[in-house]
Amino acid sequence: MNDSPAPTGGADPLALELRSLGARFAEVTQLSQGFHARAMSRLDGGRGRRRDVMRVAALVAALLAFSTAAVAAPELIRQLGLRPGGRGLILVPVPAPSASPGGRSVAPASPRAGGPSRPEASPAQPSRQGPGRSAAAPPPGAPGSGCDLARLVVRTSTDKADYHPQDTVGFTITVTNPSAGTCYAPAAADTCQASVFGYGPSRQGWDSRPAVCPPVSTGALQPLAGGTTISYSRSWNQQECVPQAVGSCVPGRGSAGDYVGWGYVIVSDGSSDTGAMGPGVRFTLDAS
Amino acid sequence: MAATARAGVTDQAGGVPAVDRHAWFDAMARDYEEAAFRLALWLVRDRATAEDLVQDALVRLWGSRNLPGEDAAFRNWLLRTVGNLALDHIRRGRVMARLRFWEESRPDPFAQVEDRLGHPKLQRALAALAPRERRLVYLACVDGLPHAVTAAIIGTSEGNVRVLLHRTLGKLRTHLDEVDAHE
Repeated sequence: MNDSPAPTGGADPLALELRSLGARFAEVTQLSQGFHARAMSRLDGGRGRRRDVMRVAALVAALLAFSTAAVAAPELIRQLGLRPGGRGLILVPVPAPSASPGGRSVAPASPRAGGPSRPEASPAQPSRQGPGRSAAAPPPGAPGSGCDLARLVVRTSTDKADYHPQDTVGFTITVTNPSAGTCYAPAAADTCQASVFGYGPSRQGWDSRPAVCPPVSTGALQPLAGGTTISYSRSWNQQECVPQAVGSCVPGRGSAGDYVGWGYVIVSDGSSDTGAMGPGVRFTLDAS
Repeated sequence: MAATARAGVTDQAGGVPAVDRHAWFDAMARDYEEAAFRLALWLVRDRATAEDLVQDALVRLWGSRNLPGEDAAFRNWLLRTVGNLALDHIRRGRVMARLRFWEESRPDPFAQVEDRLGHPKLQRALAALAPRERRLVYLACVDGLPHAVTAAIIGTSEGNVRVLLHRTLGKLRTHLDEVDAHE
């Protein structure tokens, strides 16, 4: 096969401009890190029609379990081998019977504390599917409820004003419950539901699969009594990504001014879950 | 790794050795997935969808009984499949848009990529082309593949590629004139 380059039409300015556009396009669009490994891992899932049949069977079984509230949405995603934030499945949680402590409902995610506006398919999305909840969380209306999620205050502080690509940045996330009711927050040691996540360079478009913990955690939420504060300490750097990361950290591709992370925490009033976020830190381009 | 794996393939006169099939496929995918991703992204304008389409194409290729044993054939097969999947995706999206009775308020992530690309008038003119035409322009002009390769990827003859490209570039020039006239 002749693989010589295509003729550019001599000095045709349109052809030249298209080639120039192509060079720029190749420069600014690159596969997310980890894509190859993910793609190769899916090859082993089976072949051809047999694989499709198996997937459909698994989908039906999992959806049946989900519809009867036997399986939480994060577990469903894990069972189906789906990628959080990926296309292909929209979960619409159905409120479970009130007698079930594992019931799920949806509350709008609420970025706070002056954090940047959250793009579509942001890491707050996993919270809509709800974390695993401990038996300590009461069903709606039970004694001990009365939490007002809207009043919870989530703050994120960092040990660096700007973030340098080779640095590890430390985050402290605090959740304060100023109300009298008891709310629920992850245990301090839960690294999955109170997390720091990294973004790919914002100027390349919002990455719909940021490096946040996948929503497969079975970590339980613990009560957060009125007037108390819980804090989480996390660290992150762009080379390592977040442990259990599912998305793309893109070392060395950032531009000055890009965001690299927010504190993210799942909170609950015992019947509904939501994600809350603090502010991010800015990326500083490595000049060396 | 890629060279070693492919050497094993050529020794088999174009066939894929069963023993090293996975390693060989891994190396080939590594070499061509980026190109496939760019084609998909060019057409569907969404990073996550583009990656999914490439992944789907790789799975299909892996499951194929007639796995192409040569570099060029692998690349052509992959780009052809990704292109067809992307066109299918766009078609399905149009059908869904007709059925949809609400409007999703989503930011367009690709707009930020376009900002970085430059050539705003050319991009607007390209957006006015049909998806098949955009695929042709991408392969033959933007990516600069030889017409013979473009023909193999889109499944037509080299002569037909020349004709289609001539017409499509004519349309593109007309769209560019329209963009100029609007400004």
